Amino acid sequence: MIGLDARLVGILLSGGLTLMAYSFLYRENRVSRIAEHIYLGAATGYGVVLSAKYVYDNAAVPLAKGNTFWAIPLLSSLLLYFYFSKKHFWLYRLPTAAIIGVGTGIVVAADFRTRLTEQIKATLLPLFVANDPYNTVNNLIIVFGVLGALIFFYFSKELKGPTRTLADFGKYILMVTFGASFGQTFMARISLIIGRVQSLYIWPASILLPLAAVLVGVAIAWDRRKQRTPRVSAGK
Amino acid sequence: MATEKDWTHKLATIDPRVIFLLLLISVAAPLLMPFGLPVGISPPTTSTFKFIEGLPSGSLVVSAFDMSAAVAPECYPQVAAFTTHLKNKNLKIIEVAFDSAGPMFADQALRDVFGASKDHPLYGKNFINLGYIAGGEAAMKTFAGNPKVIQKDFYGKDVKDLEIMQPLSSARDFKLLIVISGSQVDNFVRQFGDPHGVPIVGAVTAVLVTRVMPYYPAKVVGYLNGLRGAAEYEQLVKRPGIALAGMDAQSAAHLLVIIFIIVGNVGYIVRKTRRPS
Repeated sequence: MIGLDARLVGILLSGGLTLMAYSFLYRENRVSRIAEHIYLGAATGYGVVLSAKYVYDNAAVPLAKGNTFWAIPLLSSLLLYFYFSKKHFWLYRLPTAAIIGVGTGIVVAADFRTRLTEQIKATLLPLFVANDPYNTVNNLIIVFGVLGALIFFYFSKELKGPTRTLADFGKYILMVTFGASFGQTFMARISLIIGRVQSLYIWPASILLPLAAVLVGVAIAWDRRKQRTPRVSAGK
Repeated sequence: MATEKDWTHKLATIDPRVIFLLLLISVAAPLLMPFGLPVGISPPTTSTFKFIEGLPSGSLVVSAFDMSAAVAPECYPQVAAFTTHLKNKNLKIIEVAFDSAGPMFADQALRDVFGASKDHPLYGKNFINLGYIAGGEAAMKTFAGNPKVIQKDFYGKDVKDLEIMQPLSSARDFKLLIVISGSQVDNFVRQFGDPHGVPIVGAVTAVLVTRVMPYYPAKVVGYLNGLRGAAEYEQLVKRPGIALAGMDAQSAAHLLVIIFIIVGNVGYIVRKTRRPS
């Protein structure tokens, strides 16, 4: 029974916070800001607790069991708190340098392969595929699209003749890419609205919908009344 | 010149809240009264389905939850659909999260598909929720090199005692990595795909799809395109759910925006042609 009630309260809270957040669409208001702050606070708190639990389970517990290796990262991480000390701020830089160094090393070395050499290899395609016009056209678009987009960003010399044509082709390919990205982004945003509206149709969140409609109606009537009042006084 | 009574002027100065209201109606109405428009299945979704179908029973599959609550309406229906498929194929599922919000969605997926998570008799044998691993890409690299680096799962159980983790030595033991993400897949290709040769499937938001496409099909064997991809997968696994129910609303909203774009452009062109030179 308690579990069921908790579920219903959860649905009601979720629906209520959704409507509070969406009230921003009418205009900036305190209710939407409260919903934003609750979201930020809850998400941050949840993240902090999980991170602390991870450190406790995977570093503090093994250290307590005698695995002294874990003392090194744990003590190093404590140096980060010297960020708040003007005198010993330099100590904060040591773990920061390690984090940046390791992070960059891990990403750059692997990224060179993943996003450069492997992508160049994937662009080396046959410009004519026998008995397959679909793939022939596809390969031509990929090869000349990549070349065109690269030449479009070549600024060391004025582009003329065939290089200009290729750069223009690259520009159109880029515009199509931006259009596709925008279309995908729109689809994603609509999916998010669908998800929230679906959650509002679940009982007991659905009882909030007429309440929200009444509140929006009151807000519109209030605004109209406020708009009319100064006009009358200006006329006098 | 356009006057205040002119329709092009009214169009240009329309209250954005009217557009918001129309958009809300276009989404809310089809959810109440669905039209039942057909949903075609795209090649990347079919590739994903076929790849999972081709995996031998008992293969280890990793579901990497790199998702936050903000993308749950798009990503969670995908998770529910493919977890159902993994269960039906009797594949072993290792759930791991690289975003702090990930473990709760991993837990939700187990409860929705298997009926229970940590209390299920198959927990630790057929599936496991390893929880959140802090550290971003460095954590991914560490986990790929040695998945047993995790000491405890999301529920505090010792991981080394669980049967599913016994045969693991590196990411090479994974037959598939499913990336559930709203931010990027490049990091997973860098740390799992290229160095360890793990096939990757992207269960991603629609925004992210244009960044996944360059890796398809060489590095990423298939991908689900947002809510639409989830709806396609629900059809393939014969488990109609909230994604399929939302497709009419998606189509109606897209149609409305296409009308807005056409009307807006017509208005713009008319205003421009009427303007004195």
